[in-house]
Amino acid sequence: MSAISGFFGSLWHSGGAYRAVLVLVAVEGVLMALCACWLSFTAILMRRDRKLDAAFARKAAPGLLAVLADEKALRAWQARAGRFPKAVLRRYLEPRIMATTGNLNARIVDVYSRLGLLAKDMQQAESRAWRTRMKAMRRLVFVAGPQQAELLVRRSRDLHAIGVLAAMALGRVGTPRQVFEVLRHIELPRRLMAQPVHAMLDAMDQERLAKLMDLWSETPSPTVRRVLLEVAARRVPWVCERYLPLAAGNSSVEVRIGAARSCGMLAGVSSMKVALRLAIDEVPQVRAQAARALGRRGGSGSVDALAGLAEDRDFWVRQNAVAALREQGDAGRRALEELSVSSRDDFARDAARQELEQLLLFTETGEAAS
Amino acid sequence: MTESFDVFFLLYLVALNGSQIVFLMLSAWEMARRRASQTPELDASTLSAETTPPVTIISPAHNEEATIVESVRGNLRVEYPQLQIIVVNDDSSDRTLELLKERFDLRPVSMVLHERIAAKRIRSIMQSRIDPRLIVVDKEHGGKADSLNVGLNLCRTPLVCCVDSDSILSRRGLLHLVEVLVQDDGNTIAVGGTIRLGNGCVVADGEIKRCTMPRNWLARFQAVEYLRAFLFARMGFNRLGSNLILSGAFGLFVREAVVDAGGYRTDTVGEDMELTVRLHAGMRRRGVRYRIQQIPETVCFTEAPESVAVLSRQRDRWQRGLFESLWRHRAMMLNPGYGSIGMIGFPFYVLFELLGPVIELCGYAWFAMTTILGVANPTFALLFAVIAVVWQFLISVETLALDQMYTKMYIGSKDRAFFLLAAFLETFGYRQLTLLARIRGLVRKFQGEKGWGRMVRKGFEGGAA
Repeated sequence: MSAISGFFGSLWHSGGAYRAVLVLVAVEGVLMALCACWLSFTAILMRRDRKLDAAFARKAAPGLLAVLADEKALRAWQARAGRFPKAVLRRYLEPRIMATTGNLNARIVDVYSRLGLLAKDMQQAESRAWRTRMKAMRRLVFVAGPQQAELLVRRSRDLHAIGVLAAMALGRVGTPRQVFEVLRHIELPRRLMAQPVHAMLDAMDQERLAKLMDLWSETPSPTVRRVLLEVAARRVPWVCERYLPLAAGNSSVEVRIGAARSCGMLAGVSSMKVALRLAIDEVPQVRAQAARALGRRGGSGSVDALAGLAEDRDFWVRQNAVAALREQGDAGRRALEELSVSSRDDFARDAARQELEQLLLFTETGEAAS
Repeated sequence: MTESFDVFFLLYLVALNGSQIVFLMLSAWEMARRRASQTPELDASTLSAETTPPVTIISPAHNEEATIVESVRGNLRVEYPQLQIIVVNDDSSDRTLELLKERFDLRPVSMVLHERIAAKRIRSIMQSRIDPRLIVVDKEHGGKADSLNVGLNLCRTPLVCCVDSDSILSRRGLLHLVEVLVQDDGNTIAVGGTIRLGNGCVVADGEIKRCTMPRNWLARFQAVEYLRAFLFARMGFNRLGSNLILSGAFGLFVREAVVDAGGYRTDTVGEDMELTVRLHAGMRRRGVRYRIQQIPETVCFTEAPESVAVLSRQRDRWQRGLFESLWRHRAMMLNPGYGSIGMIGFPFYVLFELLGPVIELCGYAWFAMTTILGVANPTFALLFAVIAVVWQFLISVETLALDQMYTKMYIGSKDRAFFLLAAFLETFGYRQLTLLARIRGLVRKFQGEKGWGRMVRKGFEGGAA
């Protein structure tokens, strides 16, 4: 000890600058010690958690699946599990809830709720600390029921990440009006942000989605209207058909893009007419999506329209059109061959040649495989 | 006079270590935030959704015969619903292209090139008959940046992921990066993840099966370095929004942002850092709200050099790349108009990354001179050594602790023991070795050197090239 104090003492008396640096070194040492203490403390907590998890797995966890159908045995299991901290129960039940569906999932969620974990989640979802709210919402995505829908509507206006989770859960359990309340406040400035909205709407059953479509024209954001239209085309096509003419004539490019994409998922005559109308839209993005839609639908009407679009002045329209022609069987192949030889447009000729090569490549692969 | 120099060097060391401690704290904060906000619960929904944005992986390859097959297999096995892979063969003189043709049954196709970025001539474009998602481009030699630009011209997806051909992607690495983009409301234009060493990992069918500390000591030292660099330096910078680099080994970008910025510059050897800095500069100048983010999850494994010569060439090139990026964008330095980038990130890189080796070398020279002349203060020298060795070691230990809490890469007492031993020993020899390579890089930069230097790949353990 005296050697260390002697060491620092001699440096301390070596000059003012040394003294100043020594102070800095001491401050740094304290900071580093604080970091080490915090890391050690966290490590101890994690170790304790691991031990508790292991004890739970050994003593209480076995047999959950076996007792789910037997009320008396389930109560006994609950009594055993109740001796452990809630965090341990959560860590055990969460992955099982995530990994199951249907009846089994509903039963495990019921156990989750009986153990008081759902009530705790709801309480935590209203916490002032965003991390606590976020963690609670991550669990509620799977365990929330219709009773929690109002809470989810409130949370959908929270921080974006929390809002995304709340919206996802609401898609599963909310009424059409509640989902609409969320959609009404959603802004999607970037296309990439649309994926969670798609996921939320995909979680709705057909009946609720059809009712939600009644509110389609009241949705303020054109991008959300586009997404809604696309999901409806996939899930409730008979409802979507009704809104297509309205969407195709909308002043918003986003909505017209949605209409064009939806046409590709529908089969009715009216939607074909809409697709052909959108193929001559003034905006290239709409034409490009219409080309894709025509490709998905097929038929002689589509091939003629696609051959025209293959000579469009926009790159993506041409690309989508020739790619769509490739999917049209013999008629498409003939159209591509004609384009590759006789088109006056260099770009169209190149694009058609490219698709013909691909066609040939994979026809050969198919033949080789057979 | 002696005291002034002594104090200057010690002050520099204290400042360096002090900033590292601050970054360690910021990193711990950032990682806790990330742990709360990551949503593995939504993985399944993202993976199954038709509307998940499509991604193109662009993988430039120049003489990568040792790793290319495993790397492409790894890319094809990535869990992601809408994926295309473009491997750009940059005039390899080895069997890179032949191996790709053999293993993936490539056949020529033509693709219309939307040439928005100038690049070298393409010789041929091929598509795999085994997996149509794989496109291979053979082109004239133009360097890694040029190859990436070719990939950018060819790809048609809104997101692009630039990956080195000596890297193996983790199965859900890409998914985690995309989730950051789709669940963000802050206009994120680029996301990077943690890169780990593939040395010591066993690869089968393009997938990492088991990962341990490398057996080679040079690789072990680099494992410590990588962990420090990614887990606390970059995560710390992330907290401040001033990350100046997304690793070239794996980075996800919004294609339009990169194309609008003019793609990768071909006149630099540090194209990854240069692009990141240019994206920052462009966005800040235009006053656009944006984010460039780093996440702590391991997204990719890369092969580190295991020979002194190759390591020296790599560090030499990195230092030249660093200099070029910082010099080209020097207007950002201490410029409040660039926010935390100009006031924190840029000065840090200049002071500790660019000038660090020069100052450290001067320190060694000063210590040697004062010792020879008999004017050295032994107490001071001892204190300096303690700070230099012990402080650095403790920071590495705390990084390992962070790793154990959040990413758990090195599990098992043997791995941890080797990690700690490497962390302690790196100050004796390895540090000086990389220091000399970095100094050489600066000298060669001033001599006008522009080449990459030959990199020799060993290949992954268990991988069949």
